[in-house]
Amino acid sequence: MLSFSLVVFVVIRVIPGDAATLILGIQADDSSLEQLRTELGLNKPFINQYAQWLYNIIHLDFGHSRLHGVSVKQLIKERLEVSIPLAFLSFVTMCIIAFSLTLLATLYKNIASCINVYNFSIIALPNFILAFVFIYYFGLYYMILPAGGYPDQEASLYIKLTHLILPSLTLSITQAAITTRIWQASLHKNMQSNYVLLARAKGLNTRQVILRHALRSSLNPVLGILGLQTAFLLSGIIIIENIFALPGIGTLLVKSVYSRDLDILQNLIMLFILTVLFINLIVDLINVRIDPRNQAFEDR
Amino acid sequence: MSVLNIKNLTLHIGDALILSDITMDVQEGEAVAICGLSGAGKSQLARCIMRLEPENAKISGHISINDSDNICQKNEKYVCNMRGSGVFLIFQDAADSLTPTKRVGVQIRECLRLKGITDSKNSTLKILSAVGLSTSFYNRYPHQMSGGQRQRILVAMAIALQPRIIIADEPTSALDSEQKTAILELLHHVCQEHNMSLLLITHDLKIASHYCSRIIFIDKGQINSIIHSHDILNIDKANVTPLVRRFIACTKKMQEGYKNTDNIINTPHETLPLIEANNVTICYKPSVLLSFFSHNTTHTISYEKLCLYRGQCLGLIGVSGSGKTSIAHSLLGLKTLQNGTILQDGVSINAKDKRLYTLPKQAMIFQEPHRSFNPLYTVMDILKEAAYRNRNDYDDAQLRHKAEQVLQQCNIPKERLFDNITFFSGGEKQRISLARALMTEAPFIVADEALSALDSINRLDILELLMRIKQKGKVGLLFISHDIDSIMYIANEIAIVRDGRIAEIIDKKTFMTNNKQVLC
Amino acid sequence: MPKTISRIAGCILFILITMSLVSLFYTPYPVHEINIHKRLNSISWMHWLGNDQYGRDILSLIMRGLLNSISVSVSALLLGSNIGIILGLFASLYAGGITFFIRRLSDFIFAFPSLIIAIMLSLWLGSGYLNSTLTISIFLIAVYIRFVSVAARNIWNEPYIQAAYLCGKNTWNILYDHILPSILPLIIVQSITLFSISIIIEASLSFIGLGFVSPQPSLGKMLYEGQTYFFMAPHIIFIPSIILGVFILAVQICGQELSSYFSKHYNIRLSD
Repeated sequence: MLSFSLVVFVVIRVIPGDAATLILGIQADDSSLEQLRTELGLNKPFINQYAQWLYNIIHLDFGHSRLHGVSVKQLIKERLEVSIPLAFLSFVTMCIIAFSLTLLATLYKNIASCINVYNFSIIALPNFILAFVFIYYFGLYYMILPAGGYPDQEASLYIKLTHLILPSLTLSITQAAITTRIWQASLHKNMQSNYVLLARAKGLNTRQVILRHALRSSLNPVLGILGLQTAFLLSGIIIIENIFALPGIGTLLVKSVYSRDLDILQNLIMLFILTVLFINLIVDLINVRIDPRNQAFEDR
Repeated sequence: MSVLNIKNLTLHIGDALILSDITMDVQEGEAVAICGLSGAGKSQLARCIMRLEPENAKISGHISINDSDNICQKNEKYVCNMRGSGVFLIFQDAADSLTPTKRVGVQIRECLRLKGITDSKNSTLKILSAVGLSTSFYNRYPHQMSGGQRQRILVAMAIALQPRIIIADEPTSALDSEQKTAILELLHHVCQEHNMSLLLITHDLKIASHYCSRIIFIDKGQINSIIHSHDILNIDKANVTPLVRRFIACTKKMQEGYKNTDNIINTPHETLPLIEANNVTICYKPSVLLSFFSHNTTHTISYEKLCLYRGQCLGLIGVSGSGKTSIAHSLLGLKTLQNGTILQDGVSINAKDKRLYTLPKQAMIFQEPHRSFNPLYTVMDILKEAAYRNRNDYDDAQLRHKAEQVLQQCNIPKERLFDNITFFSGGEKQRISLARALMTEAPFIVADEALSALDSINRLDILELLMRIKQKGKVGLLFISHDIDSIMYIANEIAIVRDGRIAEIIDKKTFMTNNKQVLC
Repeated sequence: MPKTISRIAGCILFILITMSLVSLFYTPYPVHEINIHKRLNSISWMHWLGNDQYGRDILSLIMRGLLNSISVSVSALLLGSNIGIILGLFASLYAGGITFFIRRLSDFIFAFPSLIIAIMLSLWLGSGYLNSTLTISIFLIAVYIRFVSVAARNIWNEPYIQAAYLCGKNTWNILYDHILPSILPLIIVQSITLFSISIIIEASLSFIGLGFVSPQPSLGKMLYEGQTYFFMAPHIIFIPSIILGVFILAVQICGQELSSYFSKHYNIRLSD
């Protein structure tokens, strides 16, 4: 954890050179640069700056955004109100799609090849292309769903939700394709194994065998890539929010890159990485619960 | 009344003909054995009877269980009802035939539920004790149990399901000889008690004739002959097919191995032993991270004295997990010694101060034939690698000549020198392993469970080959096995390994006169 | 995968790559020629794929843009694979400190979403060719380390490696004689898949404006700049999208074909 924060700090604050020059531009005169440096605490030694930043993070003080004129904490909080539902919605949709596709492909052999082709082509497409297709058909051509943007705080939950449907669908379809492919392969491998034969020898039918025996054992590799998937999902959120003009953390991030708002950048990136690490931790815990073989050395 | 009736069963997998025109039946309460070499189609026959054949298989003919309709033509639903209630299959290797993510108790209970028994928990516990397991096993996962215990769980499932016929597909091939008899006895007992028929698939004629009334021999997918088993070993040889004759001869020879004591060398010819080990200790430390979580995972293997002379064979016997392979690895210098010395021809071997390629010559034959060669290599590549130490002594023509010679010694036709290794069968691969060992000109050969993956006829072939090499080539042989028969056949001295140490080293005569049960 | 589909994919790949290479010497119109009268024009005989918001010829832009995307991906692949394979082999060689460190390194990189890496690097290097290449190759290094070390480790555990030791070979001999030939097909197949992934990442980077800088065209950037005009002229989004999608699909199909070739002709398991 510390090493992550160190890398983020070093890359953002130290390597680019003088942060003050970065913020004010090269043309800025010396006196204003000097003033900013004192203000930012850039005159202090590196270790002090780093410690200060960590101290602030632990106290949930993320600093102050020069550009937006509000505290970074409030800014991120506002944006998260869009991004968290988006991420959650797409995650749930992804699970549903992946689960049903996997089951369909395993249960019905003739659909399997169709699903394979579908997965293959979806994985090949970058998700922003999918986004354009969706915007064009649902947003512009049929006009059923809003093509982008996000309503005010006062808008009803339903309206807010309709604005999230297309983005989350876009995000989840790509993710679901990858998950399905891995899940399906793993389930297929499990279906070849002896214990499935034994379960069938007991007199269970294919559906019972899959649901009661094979499914749980096949989850291991799926959970294994879930951590990686989170990283992809976050990358996806950055892009998708920009396409659909959603005021989430993704748009904030890109905007701060252009405006060189280091305070926001530094904390946002840390937030992203913490999310990935946190999800990985949860995945590991679930993994142990689901597959008893992973506990092997713990209860010996 | 016949419980199982098969008529003109033919099975294709892809384009290959696996079974052709099988006609057989099993009567109520009868035990029938199916014997055959590996690859003869025994296991496929078992799966066919369950209608669990692979997806690309084509099946034709007539199978009826318990006077049912022909299940070859019935749909999945009908067959599902037949499985479990009519017929049940016990697999070769219980390691992966139990669902790894479910507690075994639940898996047995599932069988009871299928029979419609409501008070299933109590019944499960009853069944568990019937197969000789304590009730605490109810909550265990398959990976927490030994091979024998897992096989018992399978038998428990059979009791729960009460099928009319149990098919046991080599149920003991992965077990030690001790557990082997225990499981077979249990299976036999259960079948008699519940009036179930048994179809036992095996390649061991001794087992087949002991437990079964009839033996069906299968060769290349066809029924070779059907023989009543009580007089099989004394049967008139003129009346039987060559396959049966080979099986009988093989079984007899293995039994003679016990009596044959003239290969015991009482006084070693040389004073300097080939391998001499004193007070050896090896430690297995878990990785840094693992040791952080658990404390008692350090295993030690130790033994006090071990001597091997040229032309002799030392048998290493013990239950699985007792440390046989580790001892072999230490003698080969593949493991770092904690303390003690190992000398080969008077020169010390220790993995700690090694440059591995300056080690004295040694060779090893591995347990799993399909993993002991690089699948990209041809036989020539393998033998060339074996001659790596002598690469400057031979030119290409000489090397090839030598390779052909060695292959012929091992009964592999020299025309197959440039075939890829994957085209060879298990028995042939073990013979090539032996050829590799000969090619290195190593005086010390270790055979680590080299026979356990082979059927009994191939086993005898390799044993005879090893015997010949041992006597002719003046090599010392370390033969590791859990199979008493093959050890008795080849070894002069027998070392019993127990809990990571060599309990005692005795010669063959004493071993025979003593109780064989010293093993465990 | 039916033979015809993979043949078609091969042809498409060949045509697209040739097209992108040809753009070095010849494009139907100069790439940067701005013609305000023709802005947002749809498909016509003069301009086969229409014109963009500045009236530039889309066909020419795509040809050059594809070349840029491919060159970034290829250089990232070369950089990433070399470092990644060497580190991965090292990680499989020694159990202990180095392995632990290299494995952690790849986990560490995986924890950063690749766009975040790009953003962090862009502060340092600015946007452009170098930034995209470095971002992608950092990601690729992690991928290569992971799969090479796992694949090589599996082979090190095979008994035939012990047999080779007993034949008198040392570690480097074995690495050269056994490990490398065995994992080479895997590396080739993976590299092709990774090539298509790096094309996707490159497009994403350009799309949020961290890829190529302005005069240089790239497929992702065309989408990014065309976004605003999407409602008026969908073709300036759809045409680059289709080209990009078809290109990536063709690469993946070829990779798949190659993998089935290898598993047929060499006895190697290519699954994870």
